[in-house]
Amino acid sequence: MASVLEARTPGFNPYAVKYSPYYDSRLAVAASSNYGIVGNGRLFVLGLGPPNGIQIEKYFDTNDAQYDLAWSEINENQLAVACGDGSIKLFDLGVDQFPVMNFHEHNREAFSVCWNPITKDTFISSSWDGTIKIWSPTRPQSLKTLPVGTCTYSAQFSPHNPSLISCASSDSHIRLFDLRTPVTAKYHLTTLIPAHSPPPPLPGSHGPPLLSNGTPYPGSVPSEILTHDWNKYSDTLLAAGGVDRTIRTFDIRNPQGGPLSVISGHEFAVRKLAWSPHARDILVSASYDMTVRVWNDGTGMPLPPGMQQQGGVVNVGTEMGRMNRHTEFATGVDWCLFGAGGWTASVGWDERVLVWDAHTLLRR
Amino acid sequence: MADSMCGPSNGAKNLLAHTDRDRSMHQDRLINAPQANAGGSFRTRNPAQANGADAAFDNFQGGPVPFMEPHHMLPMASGPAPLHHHVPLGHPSIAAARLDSPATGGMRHAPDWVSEFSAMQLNGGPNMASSASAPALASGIQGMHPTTFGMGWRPFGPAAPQSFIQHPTSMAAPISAAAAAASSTTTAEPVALVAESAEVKSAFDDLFGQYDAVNEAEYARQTADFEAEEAKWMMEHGPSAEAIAQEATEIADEQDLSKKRMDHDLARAAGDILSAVSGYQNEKFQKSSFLQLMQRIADHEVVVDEKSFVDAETGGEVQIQVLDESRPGYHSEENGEHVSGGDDAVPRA
Repeated sequence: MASVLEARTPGFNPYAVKYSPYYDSRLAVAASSNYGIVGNGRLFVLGLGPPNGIQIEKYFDTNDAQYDLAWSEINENQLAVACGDGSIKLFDLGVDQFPVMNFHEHNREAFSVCWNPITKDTFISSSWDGTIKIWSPTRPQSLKTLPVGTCTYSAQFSPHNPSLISCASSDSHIRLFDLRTPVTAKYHLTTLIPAHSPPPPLPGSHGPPLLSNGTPYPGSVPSEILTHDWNKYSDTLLAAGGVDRTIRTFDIRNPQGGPLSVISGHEFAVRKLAWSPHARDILVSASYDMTVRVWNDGTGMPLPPGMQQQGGVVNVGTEMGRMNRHTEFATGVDWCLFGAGGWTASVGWDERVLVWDAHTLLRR
Repeated sequence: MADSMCGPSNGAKNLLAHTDRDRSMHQDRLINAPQANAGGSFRTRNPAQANGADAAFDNFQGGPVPFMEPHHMLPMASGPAPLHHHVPLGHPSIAAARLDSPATGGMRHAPDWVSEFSAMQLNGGPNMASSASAPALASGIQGMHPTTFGMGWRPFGPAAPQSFIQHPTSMAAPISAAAAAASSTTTAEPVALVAESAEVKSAFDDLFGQYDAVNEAEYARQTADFEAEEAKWMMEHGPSAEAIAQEATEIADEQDLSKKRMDHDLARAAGDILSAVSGYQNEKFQKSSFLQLMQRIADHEVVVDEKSFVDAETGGEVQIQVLDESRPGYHSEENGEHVSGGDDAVPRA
């Protein structure tokens, strides 16, 4: 059996886990009591290392559930938490109990938070109130509000461009906001990607586009997108997954071009996904089917004979491994930036944090 | 964007520059000054050579100060007089020494504006404060309180002006000192002034204490009267006790209905979740604490209280015991493998 480090979050059901960008042995978990339906939240900061494997180094309580967290990129001791009351709270490991800043403008649950990894001076939050807000850690009021219009489960800064913000929403669309554009009627919205649409038919072809395994791909019905992430090596590639159990990758330069890859296998909705920081075609996903799976997006696979000259083929991703230890919904997963690559932390509603090496799955 | 930033110029733009020039009195006074084009600063100009606008301004500065007239509160507030309360009234020689520094051009280089500034700031200040501030304040306050403070306001007694001035504001100390010294000269020794100020302060404190006692008693009496009148009015015109009780019942019913509706919505959502996973025969799903809780919610056995799940019948808090693989008997096969490759796992090169 593969070695798995384990920690518990007693009384709180985790929603998100993130490795520190500063320390390879520190990670944080945002958790909520009563599965986030009612009650308060707790932020756990965990340390890895001997003698006990993982231990809780610190925790912070909030009056409402916690749904996401982001480590500060500019201060190794600070992290922001998205709360059920719509507030974003900034905690400092050097300050006990209370947050050092509270950012409260969202009218409904704040569901994701992401720190700008390049300029490091701002972070964004998305909410069920249908907005994305840009914040500075030193100002209690938001710097800018980007309207989305539907429940926005996930918002991310591009890791390649500090002005590019993407979000995934319940209307089955991925939106891109470019802050370099003037504020027009679209409020910096530059790209709208319908995640459910198939690629447009090629001229002269009949029938739906084909997957690389030869089956037709007619697209799917619109469904809520719960998570998305930018590829760390290609600045135009992002992946999204959600209620339709499928992960798709898109090229933002061709928003109407349909998915580049389709990755199927999860038996329930995909709750969280993350591209590997160490390989351009590997991603990991956590799902309501209680599994965490490692995938190859299929771009490196040779096309079958006969399809190589044919354009418009959608790659099919393959499952490379499955972590099946969670006994409740798996809700969060993150890659460790340090070391040989492959160390992964996952959390689930079974009140457990599991740290494991994805390589042990890949070797099987 | 400014026009000057938009590419090459043309004749029309030059004409626009002429017509746009500020022709107000303020600009005229500086632009038309004799030294304006000679490279000199307006600070170093000779007042004897000033033009008509400058002369008029000098006359205005040197003329009688408007707030010297009693019964005018507004000039006190907006005119130049309050300035000397805020400017530190240092000794003239210190101020002059500070002004006579290389950074400011020095007294030797700019004798006129420095002496003018000193005269305006230092010589005129204390006299104005001592002779005019207190009466002006007193008359101003007496003139305004009937409209400003409205109902329930009691006019000040004979000690009112002093009492008001004694009130701890930023202006209190200099004005009270000045008021106390109103009958004496402003060149009195500082020690005497302080002693006299202490005496006056204690006297003011006494007066204030008397005023507070009277005022508080009066306020309490008025409050009691008002409450009595209010109760009387409510007895005559207000809702009856039955109506109040009925309203309270309605509110409670409404809250109860809202709570029931919320419980019903939650039960329906739980039922939806259960129906979504019903066809999924998996050991973990069958033993899931969350799904068991959803089943109890769907069956209306468990409802949401303010901060937790409670039993619908007993009202006791429901303890959620999360089951996991580490519990004995969780797995049907104790040695089952949990971490596995996928069905179609592809080894990574």
